[in-house]
Amino acid sequence: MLDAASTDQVRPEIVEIFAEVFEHDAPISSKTSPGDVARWDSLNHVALVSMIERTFGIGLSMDEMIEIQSVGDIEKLLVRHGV
Amino acid sequence: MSVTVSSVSSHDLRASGSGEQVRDDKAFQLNGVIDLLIEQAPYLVRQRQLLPAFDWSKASPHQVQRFVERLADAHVALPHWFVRDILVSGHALSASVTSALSVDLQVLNRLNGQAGGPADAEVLRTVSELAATAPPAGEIAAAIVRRLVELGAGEGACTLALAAWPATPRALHHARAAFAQRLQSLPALQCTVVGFSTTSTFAKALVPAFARRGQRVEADEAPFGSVMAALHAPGAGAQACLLLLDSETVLGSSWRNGLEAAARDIAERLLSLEGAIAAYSANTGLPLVINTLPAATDPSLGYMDGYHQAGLAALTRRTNDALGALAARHANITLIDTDVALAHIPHGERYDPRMWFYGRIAYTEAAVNEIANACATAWARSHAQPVKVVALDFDNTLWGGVYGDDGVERLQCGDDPPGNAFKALQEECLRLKAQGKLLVALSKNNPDAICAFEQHPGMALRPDDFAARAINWQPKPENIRQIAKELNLGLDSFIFLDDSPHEREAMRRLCPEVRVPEMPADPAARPRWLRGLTQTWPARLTSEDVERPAMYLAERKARELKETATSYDDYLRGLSQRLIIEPLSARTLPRVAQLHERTNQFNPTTRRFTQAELAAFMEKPDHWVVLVGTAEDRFGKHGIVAAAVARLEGKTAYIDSLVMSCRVIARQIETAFLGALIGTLCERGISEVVASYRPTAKNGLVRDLYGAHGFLPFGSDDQEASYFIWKENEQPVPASPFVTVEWSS
Repeated sequence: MLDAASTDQVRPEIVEIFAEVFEHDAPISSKTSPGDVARWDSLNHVALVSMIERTFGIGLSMDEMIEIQSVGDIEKLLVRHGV
Repeated sequence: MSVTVSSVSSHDLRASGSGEQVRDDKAFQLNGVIDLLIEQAPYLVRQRQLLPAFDWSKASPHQVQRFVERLADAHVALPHWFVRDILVSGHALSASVTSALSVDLQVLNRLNGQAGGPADAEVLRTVSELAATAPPAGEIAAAIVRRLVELGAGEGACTLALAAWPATPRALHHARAAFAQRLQSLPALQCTVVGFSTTSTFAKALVPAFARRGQRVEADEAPFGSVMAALHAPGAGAQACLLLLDSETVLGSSWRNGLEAAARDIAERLLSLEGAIAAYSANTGLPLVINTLPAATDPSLGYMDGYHQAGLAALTRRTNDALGALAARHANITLIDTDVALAHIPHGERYDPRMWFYGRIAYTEAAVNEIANACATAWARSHAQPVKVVALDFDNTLWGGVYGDDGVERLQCGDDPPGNAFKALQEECLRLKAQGKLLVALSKNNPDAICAFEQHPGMALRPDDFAARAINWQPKPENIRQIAKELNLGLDSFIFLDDSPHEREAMRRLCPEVRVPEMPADPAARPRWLRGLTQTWPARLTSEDVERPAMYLAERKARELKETATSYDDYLRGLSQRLIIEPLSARTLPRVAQLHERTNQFNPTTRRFTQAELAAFMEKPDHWVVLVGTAEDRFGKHGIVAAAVARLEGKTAYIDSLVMSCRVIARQIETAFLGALIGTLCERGISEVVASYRPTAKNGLVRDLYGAHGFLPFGSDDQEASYFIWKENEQPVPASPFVTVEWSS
């Protein structure tokens, strides 16, 4: 696998998660943030975190939940968790 | 490796053939891996190595076919887990491979095999049957739904996804477009949703939960932290209120001043909550659904948690007891036992501390879905026709073996395996009977099969436990219609339990109103299964419910007497009927409300007075006369069977409602009751009694009630109601020679 965080290519799993949680089918990049996604509110943020945990088999702390402010933040967290 | 997340849909790959869509060297290497898997297939399948982790949506149909052929050449059977993985990843296999599979996998296979829409009509029919009887769950459900959507069958996909909810919430996501359309076609239910924690996830979950039962919830969430205000001053327009309770907010406490003070704080908070709930109930009378606090899992007092007053477990119990007492006092409250609702969610997955601290979300998504589903189930339970009759097959259902082939002695039922599982099911039937359901025998046998319950020493049921019987060789749908007629009940109050898929199928086709659950094939699984069957759960128990089976048995004995008596009058005389009359009281109130709610046939006006309205009438004896009739005869007690509400205006009384239970129809109880009512009104100085008949689909029985009792027609109005009048000294007071009327003080 290439290091996804080092390029601007978003992992296909994350694209799928955004489609499922936010019903967001437009292209996303590492810079995509809550301001760009209509349904990315605090309630759906919780659903986003659950889905990331389920998909990649990891557990995030509350700090990490709060840390996620863009798609790039998700990529960084995944790398930190070894996926 | 994951099956469900992939940027390229399984369909794209299958369309592309093998390896043409090579974008980089990764795909090329994948083909090499698949070639290796194919080569080593027999070993890998037998050892269950590598394959369970492989995402077959990455393989082409041709590669899957080569894999299957490789196994066939080596004479290795396809294991079910492998077939399942293949089908879930979007591939189709030949029908010969899948014929031994469960119906849901066969459906998926046929859908995968279709190149394009529309979806095959026969498969769609099977899908809707699956949805109604045994909805698939997990990946299989999600895969079928996704494929149905791809083939343009959104409607069927939505039905299946709702049936698979809440076990598989993801399935509904695949069908979201069709679901949005479905919602628009459903009648709206305006709900206020309140809670001390975040209610948005709950409100969101209520939508599919109620959609499963044919209603579109329009939830109005009270602003955060305004529970008390919302209960004390409910907004206009809502038809119901749902109150989501959780332990964090109800039992959260300051321990600064010690254990006693903390327990007292919580008790005071509970009191104010009780006050608000009581106020809502009294002010609106609208349905209020509340969940209990879930069992405490994180003790505040270690091993003393359950028995020290400041232990969370003890506080939880005390709170739930108080809620139970509230629900018993207010008929509008439906209390959901949260632990029952969450039975299938592991304890560690009900609460997520991060969700709590991040957003005051007190339940995980899985848990809140189950609670919402329980609310909708309870709602449906109290608004649909309740199950009143359990129709039971004999052979291989109530006992093991076939009566006609094996004879009584060889039937399996008793204290040893395998008969103990059948006896346990009989015990469960007795439990339902004790809750007021009628048991009915529906068996293809010679009529003497009923004797098995007497002659076989291991049986828990006795012949008299059955309120009616149809033991013959007629088709069961015909028999059940006959029994429904005998018992004066609609088919929609029946549930049918039979081990034979053919009998179940025949019943579903010919009597679609009857509820026919799928029954587990293993007798050992059935007693628990029956307990979990929500269709049989009571909405609310009254003392009448508990005595009802005895009443119907008395009726069956009375019917048998009818067959031997020389004339109907002789029969009625032989019954020695007594009707006890009394004014409405707190004791009789719940049953009288229930009679108003349930009676469809003997109900000339169909005015359904609620418990609250009836209670209000008791407070104004100068304006309202509410009489209650309790019947018994030589075969047993029938309990409270009749009630009437009369409104007094000067010298005239208007009969606003007159309801009578169908189990005492055609015995002149109505004559005696009407006579007692008119007698009471005359004593109160009334000289004219006005009654009305408003036709409905079910109350044709009482069209001539008043005419037959000396009332004179008095015109009708544009709503098709006919009016009747009775005048003192001009018409006789109705009376029956076959019913002794007594007054209870």
